[in-house]
Amino acid sequence: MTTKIMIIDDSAMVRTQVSRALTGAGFAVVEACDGADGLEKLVSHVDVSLVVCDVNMPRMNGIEFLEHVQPGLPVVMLTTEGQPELIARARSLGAKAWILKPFKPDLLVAAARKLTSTT
Amino acid sequence: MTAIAPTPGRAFSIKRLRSLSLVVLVGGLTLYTLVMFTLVQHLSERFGPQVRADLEWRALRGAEALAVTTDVGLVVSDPTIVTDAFGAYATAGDVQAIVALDATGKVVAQHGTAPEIARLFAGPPRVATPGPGYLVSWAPAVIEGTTVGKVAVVVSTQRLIDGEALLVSVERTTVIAGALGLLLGVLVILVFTRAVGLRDSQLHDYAHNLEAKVEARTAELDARNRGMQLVLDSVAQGFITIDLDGTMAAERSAIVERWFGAVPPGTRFGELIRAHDDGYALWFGLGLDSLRGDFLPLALCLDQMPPRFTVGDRTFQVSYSPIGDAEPVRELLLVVSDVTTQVAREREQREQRELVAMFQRITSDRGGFEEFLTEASSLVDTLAAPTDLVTEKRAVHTLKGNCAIYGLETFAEVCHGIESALEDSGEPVSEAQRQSLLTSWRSLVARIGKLLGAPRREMIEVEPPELVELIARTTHGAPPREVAAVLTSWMHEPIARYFERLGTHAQGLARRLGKGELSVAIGDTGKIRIDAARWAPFWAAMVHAVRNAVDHGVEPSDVRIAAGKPAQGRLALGAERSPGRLAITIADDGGGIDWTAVRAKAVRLGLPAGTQDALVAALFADGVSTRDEATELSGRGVGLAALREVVVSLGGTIDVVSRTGGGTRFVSTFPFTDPELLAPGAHHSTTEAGR
Repeated sequence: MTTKIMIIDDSAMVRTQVSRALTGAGFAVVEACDGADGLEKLVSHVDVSLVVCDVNMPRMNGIEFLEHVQPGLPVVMLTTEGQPELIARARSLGAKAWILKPFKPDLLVAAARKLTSTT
Repeated sequence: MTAIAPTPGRAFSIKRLRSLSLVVLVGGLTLYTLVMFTLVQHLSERFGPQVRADLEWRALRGAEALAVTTDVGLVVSDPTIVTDAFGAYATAGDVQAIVALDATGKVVAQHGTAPEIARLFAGPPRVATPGPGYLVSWAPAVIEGTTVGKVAVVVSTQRLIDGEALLVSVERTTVIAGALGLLLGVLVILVFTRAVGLRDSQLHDYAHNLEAKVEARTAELDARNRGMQLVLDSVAQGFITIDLDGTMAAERSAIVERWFGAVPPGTRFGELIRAHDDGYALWFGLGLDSLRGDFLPLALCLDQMPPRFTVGDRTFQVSYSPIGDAEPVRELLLVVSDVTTQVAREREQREQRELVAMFQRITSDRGGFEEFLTEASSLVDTLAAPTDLVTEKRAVHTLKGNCAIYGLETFAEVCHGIESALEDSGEPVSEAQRQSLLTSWRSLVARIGKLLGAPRREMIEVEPPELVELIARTTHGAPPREVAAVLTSWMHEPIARYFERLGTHAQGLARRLGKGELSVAIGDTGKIRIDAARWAPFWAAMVHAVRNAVDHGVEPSDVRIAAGKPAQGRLALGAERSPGRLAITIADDGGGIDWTAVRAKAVRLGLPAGTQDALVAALFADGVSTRDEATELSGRGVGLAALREVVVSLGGTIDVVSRTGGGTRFVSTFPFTDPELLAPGAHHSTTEAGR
């Protein structure tokens, strides 16, 4: 069965980049434009194995998303170099890992493979 | 390393073992022989008399008993009766012979082989008398006081002799066995101790060789360690081994302590640097956390480790390598290099490039450059004290754009960094960012000051045709008021000069963005001049429109060709004067505005999006950009908002006309009175009451 990954980012370009990299590697991708949208879509996409989530987003940001998402679902934060405190906060809220933007597609795919194979 | 202890007592031990074994063996066997001998003696002592007593008893008791049982047979001298009377004695063991005599001394009956008869009865009666190989006893047979005969029982002493012979044999065998055991034991001990000695000797040799090898190896390792330490003490790079908690191993380059001070055992690298560069320490800690978590690929974790940190005015670069091939990695090798000089050199080279760019700008358009500087200084002043997020975003964005136009890349990058941070955090400019911006700006202004030298002498630039025309008009009797109006207008800047600056900037941008050569058309501006000081913020903000046109509007040449357009993009800048109004236009022939994207952004920001007017209004709102990725050039949805704000502040309006695939045109319209037109008899009438 195809492994499904959710990408949550308010930037359509980032979502497209992530989707392109992941679908090219054989993953199924669900896109959401912010934390609230992500939570809504997780209700219907119960088979999501991994969430790749931006930190700063309107309506509900990545940190708030982590506070509401079901425990046990691995979440990787996408972030910029300016936000170490937010990453530390995300880690304390259960985020598995973090990836810096701009990301290298092959490393993102490798990370997705590793995270979905161990969960 | 485990040292092999020397064995000085080795030979002694073997001898001692051998002597000890021999003593134990001799002692044991001697004791055994003595015990056996004693036992045999004891047995012998008890066995002989007992057997003799038994034999005597048999002879005495037999003679007594048979004298009674044979008396009747003896009276009648009947051998049969007498023989029968012998009974069980005749078959008893040890009984060699029984002889019965009658009263006359004639043998009546005899059992067994008796020695000489006379000797049997030579001794006294009822006494066991020894003979050669036997004991004999006899007793008289008496009936009512009359001796009717006598009976002798001869008991063989063979059993006694055999027993004694056996005991002697046992004694002898014991002695011989003891001697043989001793001999064999001695032989075994000698062979055994010799084998042990040989083995020990071999082990000694092995140990000796091993010690020699270990010593040689240790010496070699010591030499290598000394060499390695020498290298570590001498290299200009810091080699540091850390575990995944960040704890530094004791072996490291001496330069590490020279750089960062004393490093007590157990120090964590992140903590060592935290006092100097908190940001690095934070990312370093997060990086180690990633490695410990082992959720991401090693290559990604290492790629995300922070590459540089600063200690005071020095910059250090760090490379991270895993130690060993196993994953998850347990130790990292950090190679720290002081790149201060390199960074300074790069900065100098960059500043040099920037200086050249600035020099070219100043040479070709000193007035424009000075205006830029004045406007930029004003924006920096805006940012020098805290205001609100929107104002700060606009100021930083405009500052960034204008600095990029004038080739001030370093400062544009500082602005870009701050702008990105504002975007990410949603917080106003921090004090640290403010100081960084002000410091960079002061340094830049100091360098620019050297280039500009003394303040420009106030002068008015007039194109020769304009001067010729004024002379002609004056010659033909133009009224003084008209001449004065022309002269007043000369105190202002020709608008064409601003367009030329924007056009040059647009062409530079197009090249940077890989969009090829951009065709820039500047419309006929007549002789329109404007008040440089008053219009400076407008031209600063127009940079955003230029960037939008080049970055968002003009498509790459392959897309243009596919759409049936000329490969070369086109940007048109124009000014049109009408009575009391001035319209400034910037138009591109690019792909047009993506109104769907504008609508989506407007909805997300909670802005009205139902009509085209609402979408146009949204386009000029803060935070609306059709671009998702902010670049150093554009995409944050701040530029057009800033432009509109300036236009409105000048009493004007801005509008946009755009259709998909057909390009975009921004028209800013201002109330305007050309000073020259104030003069009677001017070429154009005006209803505008001035500014």
